[in-house]
Amino acid sequence: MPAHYAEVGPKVAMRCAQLSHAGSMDPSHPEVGTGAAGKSSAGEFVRIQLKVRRERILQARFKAFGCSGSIASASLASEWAEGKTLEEAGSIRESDLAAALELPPTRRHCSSLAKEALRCAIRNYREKCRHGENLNSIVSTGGSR
Amino acid sequence: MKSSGGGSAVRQARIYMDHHATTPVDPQVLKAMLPYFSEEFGNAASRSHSFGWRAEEAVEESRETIARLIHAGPKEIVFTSGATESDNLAILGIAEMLGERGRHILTCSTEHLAVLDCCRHLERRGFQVTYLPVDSTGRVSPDEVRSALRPETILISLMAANNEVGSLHPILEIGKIAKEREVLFHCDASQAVGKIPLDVEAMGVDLLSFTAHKLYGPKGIGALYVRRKAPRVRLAAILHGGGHEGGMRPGTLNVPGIVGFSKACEIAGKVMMEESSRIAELRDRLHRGIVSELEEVRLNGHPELRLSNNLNLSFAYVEGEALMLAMDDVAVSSGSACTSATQEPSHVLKAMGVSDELAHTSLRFGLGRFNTREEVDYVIGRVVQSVKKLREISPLYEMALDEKRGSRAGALR
Repeated sequence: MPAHYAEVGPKVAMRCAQLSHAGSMDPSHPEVGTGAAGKSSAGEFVRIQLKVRRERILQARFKAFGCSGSIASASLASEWAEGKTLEEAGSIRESDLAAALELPPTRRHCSSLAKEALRCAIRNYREKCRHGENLNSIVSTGGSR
Repeated sequence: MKSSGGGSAVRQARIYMDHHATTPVDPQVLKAMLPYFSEEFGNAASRSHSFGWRAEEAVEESRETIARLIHAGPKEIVFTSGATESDNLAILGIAEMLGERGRHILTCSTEHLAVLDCCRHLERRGFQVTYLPVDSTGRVSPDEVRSALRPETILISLMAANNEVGSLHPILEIGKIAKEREVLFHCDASQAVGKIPLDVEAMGVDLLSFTAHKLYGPKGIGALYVRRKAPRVRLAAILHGGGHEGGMRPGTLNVPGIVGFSKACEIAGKVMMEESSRIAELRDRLHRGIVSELEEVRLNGHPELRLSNNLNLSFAYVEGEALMLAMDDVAVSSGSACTSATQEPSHVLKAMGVSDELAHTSLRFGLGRFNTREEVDYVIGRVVQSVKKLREISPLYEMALDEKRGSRAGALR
């Protein structure tokens, strides 16, 4: 059982200490889109929620079960998403998250997961808008729990 | 541990609770070793001068002390570079020596990779290996051992104590079965030597691997016990280059390492019983302290039949690597995938039937000689605080709470 946690570096460690943008919102709220990615049996499950008004993300919140890399990626993706339009947030790239967090190559699955959860949340919000409020409890996920 | 000021001084200190990985060298051990680096530096194989004679004398005295700890004879101790080499020598050496007689080996799915990888290597060379399952506490059943034996079985290889969950195999019973069926029995006792009393005669063990650095000795020196009578075990060398160690392991002996190993065994022989109960008390204090403040913490391993210094816990809804980072002033290990190169959670926890999700949430605490009650209390606080913090941001924890609330609300209706 080797401990490799030092390999994630100071950027990830700092973000995990602060946990900025952690939290949850009511998924049934008409302005909230919820997305998730990963599997708990694989040791990682990330959820990102967005509160959107007129195509702009007012607030982004994450919750994550996973290693420090997954937590840091979800936190950073949420921070970046806030204030952006849905289209801008949808173009946040996995490689940009990884670079900003200085993720080692073995942890690139962490940044992909955050990106996937973010895109799922955007998709979920758009679906809600299309279907109206009756279907607003649907949660789009990138992988089952 | 020094802590001059308030809490922050303690926070910066690194508390070591990973004694299954390795242990610090005991100061008495270091003191015994020092003369053998530059004063008594002779090669124990040099027969022509006093430098060599004195080194040889130190080695032979050490051999006796080390043998005594496991109730073996000095001639039954073969020095190696550590337990991994001892495991390789035992398994590959027996396979080569007895491969003509039979090509089946019996081991267990929770063994250390030093044993499992040797077995896989032999499978690629036409041997058959049975990997026995374990029960939910990590122990193999003697009956399963008995029924898995075949006429062509040449070796049983089972560890004394598991390095992840500390569970103790029923070695005495298995030793009896091995004797009855006249099959050689190898035991990797790396974690057990110096922690529980071991007697190779009583255990019916023919080969036993152990290493100095798990019992407050130096790294890079280990031994393989090889039985000399009833039966006389013969094995083929896996390294070649001289007739040292009865032809079983060539190479210039690591004299300072051997002297340190001996001192470590001598100390262990004296303090083992007292130390084990003291450490068990600290371990139980740690366990009680954690579970009194946190829900859904599960003990992995056998509740009683395990090493006195081992505490392996799963903290539901919190991933192990993230938890270690959150309490990074405490050195422990995790069974989570993110700490392994393979991205697979611990093979030991999986073999015990622990779900993948829960295996990812496990931490291994390994207490040791120099841990104090103050350190234990500090670690309790750090664990509780870190688990609570990470559960706050865990979507799984939120879902579990929602489910509980939902069922409670349902019950009220």
